[in-house]
Amino acid sequence: MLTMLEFEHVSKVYGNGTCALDDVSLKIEEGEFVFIVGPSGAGKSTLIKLLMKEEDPTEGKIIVAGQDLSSLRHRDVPYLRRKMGVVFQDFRLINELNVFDNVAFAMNVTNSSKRSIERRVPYVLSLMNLADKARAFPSELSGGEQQRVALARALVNNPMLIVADEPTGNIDPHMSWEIMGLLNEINMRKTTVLVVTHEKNLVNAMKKRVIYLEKGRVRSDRMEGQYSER
Amino acid sequence: MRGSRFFYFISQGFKYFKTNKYISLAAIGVLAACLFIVGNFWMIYLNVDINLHRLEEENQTVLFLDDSVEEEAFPEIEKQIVAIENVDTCVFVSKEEAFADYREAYAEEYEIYSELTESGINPLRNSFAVTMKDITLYQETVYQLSKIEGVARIRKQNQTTLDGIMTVAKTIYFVCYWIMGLLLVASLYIIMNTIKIARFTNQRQINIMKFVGATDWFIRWPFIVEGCIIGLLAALLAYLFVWYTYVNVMVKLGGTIAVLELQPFEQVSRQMLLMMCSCGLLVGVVGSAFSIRRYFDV
Ligand SMILES: Nc1ncnc2c1ncn2[C@@H]1O[C@H](COP(=O)(O)OP(=O)(O)OP(=O)(O)O)[C@@H](O)[C@H]1O
Ligand SMILES: [Mg+2]
Repeated sequence: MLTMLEFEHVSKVYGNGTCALDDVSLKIEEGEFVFIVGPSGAGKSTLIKLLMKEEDPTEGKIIVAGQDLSSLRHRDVPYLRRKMGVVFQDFRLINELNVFDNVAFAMNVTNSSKRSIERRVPYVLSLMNLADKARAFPSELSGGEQQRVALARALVNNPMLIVADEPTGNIDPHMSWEIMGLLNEINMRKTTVLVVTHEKNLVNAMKKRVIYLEKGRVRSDRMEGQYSER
Repeated sequence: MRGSRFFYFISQGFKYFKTNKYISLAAIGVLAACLFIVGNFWMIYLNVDINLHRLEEENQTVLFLDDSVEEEAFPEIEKQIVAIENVDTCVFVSKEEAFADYREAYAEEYEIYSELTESGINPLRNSFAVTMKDITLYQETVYQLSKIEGVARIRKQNQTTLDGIMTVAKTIYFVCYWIMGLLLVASLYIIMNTIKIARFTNQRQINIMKFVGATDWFIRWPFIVEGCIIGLLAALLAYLFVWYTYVNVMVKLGGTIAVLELQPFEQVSRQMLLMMCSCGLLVGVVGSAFSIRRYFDV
């Protein structure tokens, strides 16, 4: 099995002196489903920013799909980001575009042809149970639906890795189950999934690998883990 | 760049322009006002320049040769004259030709000339008629010419008027350059800050583009297109105003100044349009591109 991502003794100290990550080492294999949990301010979002090279680590090494991020030049960063699909708590859809165009947008950016866009987008929308919402605008959708659009956009370029930072943070509980179910389905298709979440019940129910972060350190890392473990 | 890319950038540029309608219009207004002032100074500059060139063409400096210089030496002297950088044309006029010219020019004093002809005396000298490329370097060039061996005397052209015109022209050039330069820098600054306001509305979209893996240039191109639209519209507007002002104000006022012969607008219209468009494009594109600079460090 290929290693999808690896953190080796990674520390991140922000400009203002906040130490968000402190000597973090972890390894995630291809095809895994991993929860990252921990109290607010534990450094979970920072970990994702480092992964996307939105920030650089103060110390240590990060390897994504065999590539050392420190050796990546600025102009190569977009190609790293195309290997992963990201989803955020606040959806980050473009309000002026309808559902179809929001998803097609990610394909436009990566230089896909019109034909492949017209083939691929409806397919991904149907995977996310959004086939009948293609012409709707984000403001006309529920939180759960908007997050599914964001998921479709993350999936549309066939990424190796899906990264979700609190994907259910803004939607009501039973919709959260649906989103997690979809993420699980995505994972069944061999895509590695990394989910940051505060949803205790979901984490406990799903019996996946759980990495518990606290004050920038890995407190525990267990297969079929439970939420708050110390 | 694929063809479809190109059209995507263009249409995206128009979209940005429309989303930020009011700010775009404000930017056009400011830029057009600046370009209008720049255009008027450019107009003055052009007119002075054209008049000066005319003066240059008309201006002839005559080098009289010493009578002792043998005919064989003429080509050598000509070579030396032409070697001077600022010399534009150089025509040899033999004393016989000069004599014939005089006789024609002063036909009423016919007797004097026929007397001279009969006695075989030609009081005139062999000479070279020289014109210069850049009349602002007149003094220096005359000095260089006077150093050539065999040149006995130099007849300069009404030097005092020339000096006067030169000083005025140089001052006008200087003022025009500075004002135009400062205005362009100022408008660039204003445009950059105006467009920056619009960027807050684009920020979300830029951010989304970045995390789905857009390259910097993919993000930048539409903004450059938007800058082109702003720059070109402002240039066109300024051009029309300059035209109107020139025909209705400047030409009427300028008619009273005798020295400066104002050109009809058609004569300078193409140069003016070109100037306005290039300045507009420059400011628009640079302003627009710079306004998104800070979004590129993540
Ligand atoms: N850009 C930044 N500059 C300075 N400090 C930052 C920055 N971003 C995050 N931090 C700090 O780093 C620490 C970790 O932040 P991070 O966002 O990674 O936490 P988190 O685990 O995602 O928390 P939450 O569950 O509330 O989202 C916090 O103390 C935060 O204040
Ligand atoms: Mg967070």
